[in-house]
Amino acid sequence: MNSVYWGWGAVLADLAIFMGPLSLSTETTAFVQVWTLHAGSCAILATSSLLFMPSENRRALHWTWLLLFCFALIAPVLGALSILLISRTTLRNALDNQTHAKPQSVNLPEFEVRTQQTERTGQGAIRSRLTRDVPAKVRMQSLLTLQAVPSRVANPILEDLLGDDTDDVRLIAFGMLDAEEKKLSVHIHQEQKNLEKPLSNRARYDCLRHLAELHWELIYAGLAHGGLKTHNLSQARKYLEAALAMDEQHECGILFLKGRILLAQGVTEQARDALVEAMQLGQSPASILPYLAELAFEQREFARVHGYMQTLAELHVASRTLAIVDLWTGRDSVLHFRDRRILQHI
Amino acid sequence: MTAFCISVTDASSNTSKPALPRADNVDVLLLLEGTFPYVAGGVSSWVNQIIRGFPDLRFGAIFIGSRPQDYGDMRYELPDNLVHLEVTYLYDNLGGSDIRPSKVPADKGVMDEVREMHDLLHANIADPQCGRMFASLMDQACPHGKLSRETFLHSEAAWKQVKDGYRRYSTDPSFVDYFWTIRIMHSPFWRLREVAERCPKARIYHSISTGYAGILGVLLKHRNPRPFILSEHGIYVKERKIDLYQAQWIKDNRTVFEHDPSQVSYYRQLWIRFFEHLGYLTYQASDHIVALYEANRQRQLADGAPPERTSNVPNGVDVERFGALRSLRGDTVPPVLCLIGRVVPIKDIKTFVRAMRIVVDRMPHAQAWIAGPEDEDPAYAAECHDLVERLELKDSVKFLGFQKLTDILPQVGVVVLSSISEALPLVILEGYAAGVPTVSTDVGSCRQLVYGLPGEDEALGASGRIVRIADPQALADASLELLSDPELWAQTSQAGIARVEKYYAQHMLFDRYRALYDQGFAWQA
Repeated sequence: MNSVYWGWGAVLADLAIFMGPLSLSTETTAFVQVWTLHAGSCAILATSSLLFMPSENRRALHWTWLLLFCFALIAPVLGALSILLISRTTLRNALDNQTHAKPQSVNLPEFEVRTQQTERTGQGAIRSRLTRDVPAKVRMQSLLTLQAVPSRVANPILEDLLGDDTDDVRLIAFGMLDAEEKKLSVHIHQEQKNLEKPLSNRARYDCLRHLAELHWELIYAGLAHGGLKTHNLSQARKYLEAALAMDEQHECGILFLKGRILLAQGVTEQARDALVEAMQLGQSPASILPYLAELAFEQREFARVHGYMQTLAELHVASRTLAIVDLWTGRDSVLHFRDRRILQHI
Repeated sequence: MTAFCISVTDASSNTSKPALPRADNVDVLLLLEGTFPYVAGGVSSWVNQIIRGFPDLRFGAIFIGSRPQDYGDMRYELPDNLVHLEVTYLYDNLGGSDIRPSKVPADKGVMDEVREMHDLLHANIADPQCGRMFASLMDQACPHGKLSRETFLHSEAAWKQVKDGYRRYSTDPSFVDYFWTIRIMHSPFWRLREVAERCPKARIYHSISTGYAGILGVLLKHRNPRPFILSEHGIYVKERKIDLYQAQWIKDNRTVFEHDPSQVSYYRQLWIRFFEHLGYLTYQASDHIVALYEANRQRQLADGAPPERTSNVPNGVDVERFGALRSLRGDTVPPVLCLIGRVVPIKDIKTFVRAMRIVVDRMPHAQAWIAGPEDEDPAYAAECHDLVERLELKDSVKFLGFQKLTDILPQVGVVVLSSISEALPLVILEGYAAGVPTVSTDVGSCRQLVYGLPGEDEALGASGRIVRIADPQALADASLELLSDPELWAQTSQAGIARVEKYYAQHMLFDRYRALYDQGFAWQA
């Protein structure tokens, strides 16, 4: 708004020039001085009016300035006054025409402390949206949704899609699986390179353990099958045993991993010993007992399975395990066995 | 096969290499994007085969690449009847070094036409006006024309149009990304127009893909109405789509509240639509649209190719030349699995290496050869070497680099193809002609090549095995089945020889293209 003050200043200066003694003088010098001062005030007025103008009307700036200047120059005081009044009126109208959102007050929502119960969509729901009779667009959307699903769940679905008839679906599934595998391979390669360097005992132990975990992850994420799975398991075991050989004070996590690798290799007795030892060293029973139950189940020792399930029933276990525990302990109150075969959450 | 690349930062000269052949007129002008003579591979071999197969015709070729640094030296010796070769790079020196801020005027009428064309493309790409408007706008895209590159990229009117487009269409919050995407997307058209202007006169234009090469064909045909043949090996639009779905360089600026994992990000959609439009315009302008096999023709129809202009012409190989290799084979089946192809992700070399881990566990003396150049994607080649090391296969897997097939095929037990995408691979046919069966993934027309089309072809028997993509176990099992059973190997070998001789001989390919070319020449006569 400073330009308005400059404008009014120029009008007042113009008025003073023509009301002052200089304008009454008949000398040429006074005439020149009056018109020079008048031209100066006109220039200030033209400039301030130009700045006063809304941005959307600022076109051909040089010509507009000249027009305003001439108008003010030809009609002393009156011309300048008219320019200012017109500019002010135009601006006011422009401002009045602008619409402003009127603030509305709304009530604050009540804070909801309960966890919202949402309907879960598991693997089945995603798989059903990927079947061949579903429109291509929906299939593609479902496929992309898998990017936001944990790899342990997504990868088996993607594996199935590798045999799909549609090129796009098949290749995108491949791309997603390949990216997942590549992430792990890069880490494996890096750790293998690290292993070749001179390392402290602790660093070497960490490196070997990490390599065992990465090879195990390839299997856990469903990225290695058949002969490759066997190879990766043997690699995981090789690195794990090398790590264990370096440290006599075993930690429960590495023994838990050993138990799972041995279980996957079918070395059941040693797997059980490792899992029990891991539990004795502090690994939570909620994570160990399902594996011990699996081992007992494979050895057809159902009484022991039942025992493990009873123990699990007293612990806080994940919902998926809980449903199995309920089934084995009869807590699900299902009367007929045939109804128990349906596990809603899977 | 693609020249599509978005990196534009590193710019060097945009001049064609010296000593390339030049001519004022040619019989057939080939439009090649990211292939012959600077990239080795199936499509390039096909182009080489076609030029050499018609020694009586004078060929010209326009090679369209992304940037000079993405390509090395020529991979093929230029045939004598290739009388003109021009090289152009779409993303080289895009910005120019002499740009100074200055006011660029724009003709309101032409900018309105640009807007109208984009609206039409949004609303209904099938509208015949789209192609006409595109061609007439490109007429005005010369340096001093109403739609010069400077006008489109630097004028105030263009800036307003970009702003307007962002407000109307963009669902991504970043205007900066929208602005640069639009510029980078449109810039190649002016370069293609320059090429179209200085091209030699041709009696027939022949593009090997849609995309930028196809659009060059559209521009050339508009300037000089001559028959335009489109021969697609893979389907360009499909391949671009798959690349774009997985591309890491495309930004998604949606916030956590806006992000819906089932929705493709706006810029990804924009690029996909762009290539769909290029494909559609090319199909509409083509007089003959050739696919290698029926499934690809169906895909072309789905993408907008007029059915009456489409046909299938399968690949063919020189059966006599490769057949002579059969006499060089020994009595036993060599325990050698050979993958012939470039070491690039689309060939999925890693699955072959993983399969070899399983093969070697059961057949310790088996050898794997990977015969193909490694310089196209050095990072991927390094990953493959690392995998070989990790799987302890250094003694069993050999990277041979580029090899003459006539030298290696007599020593090979089975040709393996682990690709995730193919059309009608020449290497399978060349292997058949040399008496080598194949184990291939179920891609492109490989199933038809191995088991035959229903009828007489199928009755010839299986000439190998087909497995799912990215399945090392299945690939290993199938290869071992062939290598460990000489009787089965002999049966599949015989079926392969019979199939290639009957359906995929080179003279059949030449006959079909001779007919297409003659039809084009006759039209002008």
